[in-house]
Amino acid sequence: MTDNKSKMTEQIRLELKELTTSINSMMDAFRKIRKPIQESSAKLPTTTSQLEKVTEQTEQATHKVLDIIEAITKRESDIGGGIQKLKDLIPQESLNSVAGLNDLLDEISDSVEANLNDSYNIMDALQFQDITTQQIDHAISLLDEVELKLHSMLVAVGIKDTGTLKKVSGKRRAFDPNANFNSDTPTQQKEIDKLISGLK
Amino acid sequence: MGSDLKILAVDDSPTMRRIIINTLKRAGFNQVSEATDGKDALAKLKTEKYNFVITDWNMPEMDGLTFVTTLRSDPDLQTMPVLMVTTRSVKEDIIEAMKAGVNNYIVKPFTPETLAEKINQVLTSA
Repeated sequence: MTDNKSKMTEQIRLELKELTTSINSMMDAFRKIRKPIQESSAKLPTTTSQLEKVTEQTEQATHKVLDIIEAITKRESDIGGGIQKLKDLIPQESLNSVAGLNDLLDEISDSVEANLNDSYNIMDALQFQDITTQQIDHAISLLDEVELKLHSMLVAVGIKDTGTLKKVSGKRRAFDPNANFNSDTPTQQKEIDKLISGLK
Repeated sequence: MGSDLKILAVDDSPTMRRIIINTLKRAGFNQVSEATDGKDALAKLKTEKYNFVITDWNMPEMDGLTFVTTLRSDPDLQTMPVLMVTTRSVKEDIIEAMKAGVNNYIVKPFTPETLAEKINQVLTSA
């Protein structure tokens, strides 16, 4: 009986010793990661703010390009309209009598058409800005979550107060986490059309 | 048909609103107004008469799905033709939008041809 008791006491002493060693090594590990956690936690608001700047500046640049495209398409449309007016004003016999005049006017009209199409293609491609904004907003929301979790860890070990977390931005985000700039939209749209016609 | 149609383009992205308006004007739809989200759109639909709505899905304040559901439960607006233009391409999302009352669905980035085609399809079937 006494033997059993002393065996058990020894066993408990060994377990406690192991437990103390484990706790000490955990404390050591935590001391080592505390600084990187604090640093990462401090860097996250800056990262979020930088990403927001990317969105803002890309949007500004996109609108600048749109301003230029709108100006180009207006001028090209005016030129196209002018060519047509010219053709209407010049009698058909005069158009035919001056060598190459009709062809020249047609060539200008074709160039105007090509410039307009290219400008509209650039405009259509600018849809990327909405899609990348949603991708960045998704990344920001993930960073916000990480920041919150790191902050909770630091509060739990008494390094930070509960009230120290300041939101980088009060902006309400609405994004599609799967937003993607698919360059083959006609094929994708056809699949959607097929799905919709199956629903009707 | 295009010139008589009064369209409300609803999207939280100023870039997308501008592209949609330009694309619509190119297709001959010259009467286009804009709203920044579902809440803004509902307020505009209550004060002005529109014949067609193009809406995004992901928007702050009120998203496109809630907006369409609200629209369909309003006796004055329930028959409004609605085309959804969104990045959401997951099958379940499309089914959800159609169930909510969207008349047709386009995924971004869209082509001008698709936008014009879908508007005409919705108008023809309305």
